Amino acid sequence: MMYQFKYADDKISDNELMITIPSITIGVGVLSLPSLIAEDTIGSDGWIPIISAGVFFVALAWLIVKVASMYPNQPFISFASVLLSKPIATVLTILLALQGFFITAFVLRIIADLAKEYLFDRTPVEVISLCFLLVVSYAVSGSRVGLFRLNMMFFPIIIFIIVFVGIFSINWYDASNFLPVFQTDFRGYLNASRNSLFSLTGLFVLFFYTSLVRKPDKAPKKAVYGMTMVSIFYIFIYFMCIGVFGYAGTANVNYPIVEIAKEVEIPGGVFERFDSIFFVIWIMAVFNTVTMAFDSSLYALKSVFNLKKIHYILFLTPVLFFVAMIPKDVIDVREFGDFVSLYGLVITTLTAIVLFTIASVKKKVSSEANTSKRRNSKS
Amino acid sequence: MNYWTEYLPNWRQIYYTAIAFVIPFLLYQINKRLHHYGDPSWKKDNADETPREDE
Repeated sequence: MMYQFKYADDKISDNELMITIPSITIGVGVLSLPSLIAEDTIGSDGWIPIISAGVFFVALAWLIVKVASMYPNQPFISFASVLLSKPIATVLTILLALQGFFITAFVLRIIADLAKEYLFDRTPVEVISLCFLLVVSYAVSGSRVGLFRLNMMFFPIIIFIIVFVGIFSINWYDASNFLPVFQTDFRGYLNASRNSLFSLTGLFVLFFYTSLVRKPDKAPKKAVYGMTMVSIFYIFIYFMCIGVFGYAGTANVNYPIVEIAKEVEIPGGVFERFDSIFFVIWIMAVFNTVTMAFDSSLYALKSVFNLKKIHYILFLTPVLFFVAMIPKDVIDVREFGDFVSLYGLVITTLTAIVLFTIASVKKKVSSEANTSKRRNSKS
Repeated sequence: MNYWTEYLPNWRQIYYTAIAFVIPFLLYQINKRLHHYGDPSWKKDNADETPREDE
């Protein structure tokens, strides 16, 4: 059959699923990640908790995509109903939808606070977050696969800007900042791993989006690649911050990567304030995170209640805004972030493990039944 | 420790929450009108028969 128009259907390739993982996980969390890790570790030991958390999330990504690809092109609620029963599947879908909702609200608040601090110092937080939310609502009200194409388009730009900042800050690197090594105690590693959780949450979208993959056979492998990319990216950013500020300096700065971007000087004096360019591109990354989280939440809700997508958007947009504005100060925002990451971790991990175990047992039982049937028919 | 009264929304939050509903709603209504009057007949027929999955 002639391949008429590659992007005409509502399906995505496994590569688009792979890029979805960095798109949803890399957002506002990474800006404060080096600082949060440096608080609990000594020297450059922070790479160990990043790798250990990364390995856990790589395994989780594989598990989620594996179980979803066992039932190709079936939405989450459909295969979860087969495995767990309809009422439990419905509750799980709503809980996962809530996670998307919380991530959207939290990221909305953080990006508004950050933009106020660095870009619009005289604009109220409410106005910044409302503008951002309206663009997000517009994005999710269109075609779903359009968002995946947008991810593919933005991803190289985001990687480029980080590598760019890394290269142009090389003059301030001090090798002694990386020392001493392996001085952190176990408790420090544990706290640092816990602090890096938020930067890695968001994998729940894979429960929903794997059903959109045209050929899901290679999807688990691609999910592993996608999550590995995130871990490598985080380690690169962490080393960049430690190299410039040292662990004590990094721990004292809220958003070390932004501070580095502020100091970057491009030869020839083309950009006086490079951080504004950095921010524009960073907002693209955050936009991807929020649209993916919001859209998967809509996808989940739509599979439970039979309403039009636009009705959910009209209802959820003001609610999201309201929830995002509830935290009053930095401490509240941080507590909200802790809650979102813990909630996400528990719900996603439990759902993945339970579904995978039941699916594997069912598969084994059915294959054993088939072989015994064949034996009986032969005899 | 914050008391719960501190978490009550101020007028600005309520006002912008209302706007967060009004703007998408108005845009949706205008868009619907434009499609109603502007779409060619074949598109209207198709739209009636097979509603798009993501609508």
